[in-house]
Amino acid sequence: MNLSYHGLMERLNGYEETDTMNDLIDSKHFRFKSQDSDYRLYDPVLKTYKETDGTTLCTVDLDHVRGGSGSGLDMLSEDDRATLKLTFLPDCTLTKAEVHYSEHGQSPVMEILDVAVGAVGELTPGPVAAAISVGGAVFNWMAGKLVEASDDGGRTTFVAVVANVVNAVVAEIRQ
Amino acid sequence: MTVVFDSSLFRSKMSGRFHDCSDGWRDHGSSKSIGYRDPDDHDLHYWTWFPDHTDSRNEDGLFLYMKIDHDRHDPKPDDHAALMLFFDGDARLVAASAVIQMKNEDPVAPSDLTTGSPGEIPALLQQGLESASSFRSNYSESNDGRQNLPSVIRWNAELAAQSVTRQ
Repeated sequence: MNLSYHGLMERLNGYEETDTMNDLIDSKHFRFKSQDSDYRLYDPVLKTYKETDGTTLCTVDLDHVRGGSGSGLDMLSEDDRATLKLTFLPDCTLTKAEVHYSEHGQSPVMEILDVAVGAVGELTPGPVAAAISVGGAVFNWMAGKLVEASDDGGRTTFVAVVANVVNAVVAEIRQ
Repeated sequence: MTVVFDSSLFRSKMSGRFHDCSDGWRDHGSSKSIGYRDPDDHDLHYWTWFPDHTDSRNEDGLFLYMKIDHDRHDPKPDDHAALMLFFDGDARLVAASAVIQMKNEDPVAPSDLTTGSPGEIPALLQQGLESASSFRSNYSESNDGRQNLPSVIRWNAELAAQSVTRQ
């Protein structure tokens, strides 16, 4: 199973890529703006469990960039972090979703979401319904875990950014 | 054929609903927004930021996201809302969600994704926000423009849904 990093970035085509100079040059990531705030999407890691059930775990890290000064870990320390762990069957059906959220200054929280994907409203079950069901579940769970609003609303927006990345991953993953 | 958002149509629909809506999308460097005021109380000021979107599989469907700010005038920090709309391949609104965040306050969000027939979803979303416990306990009696946020979000959802078409 594979996930094209380029395809993922293309699918996030509402986002404007921003200058990545001096920004975490050791890691592969896409830095972009959503509304008036900055985010990082790191290169997703795929691991296929060939010996057992053949499922593939896709791990995606995202930052809401609040640092911007200093260097190395100092710069990261102000950021909010979200991690998605999405498990796919060999036919690319999403079978399990886990989301982690770590707001700067707060204890990390996580949840295993219900991905028993049925119809969403009047939508026929299928890949689009799955993306909406899981993207919506991520949005609603994370929305309830927000603690302190950032002045520009970038923390509020992070919820939508993570949900959009769920959509992009589900759309781009290939056998 | 893809599902697309028509930003100029949306702005003109917002102008019909709200008071003093800006003529176009104002450029803020990296992003754009429109400003507008409550139709009944012109002191209440809101901003909607230009939506982000992602395409679903095989271009069937669209995730549309917009940030809505309630401008409380400096030095009071703005209130922020995230509105997420989910469209199918026929450009029908099939689900929605939203969260309102105010500085140092519990977030206001419905507990579940709002679904229903496309015409009902915006009003159901407003009801979901207004019945969230953090909203009922803190803001349902507020008169500083916070009380109106669920309604502002509903109209953004309704008018954005009317501005998404299949092309």
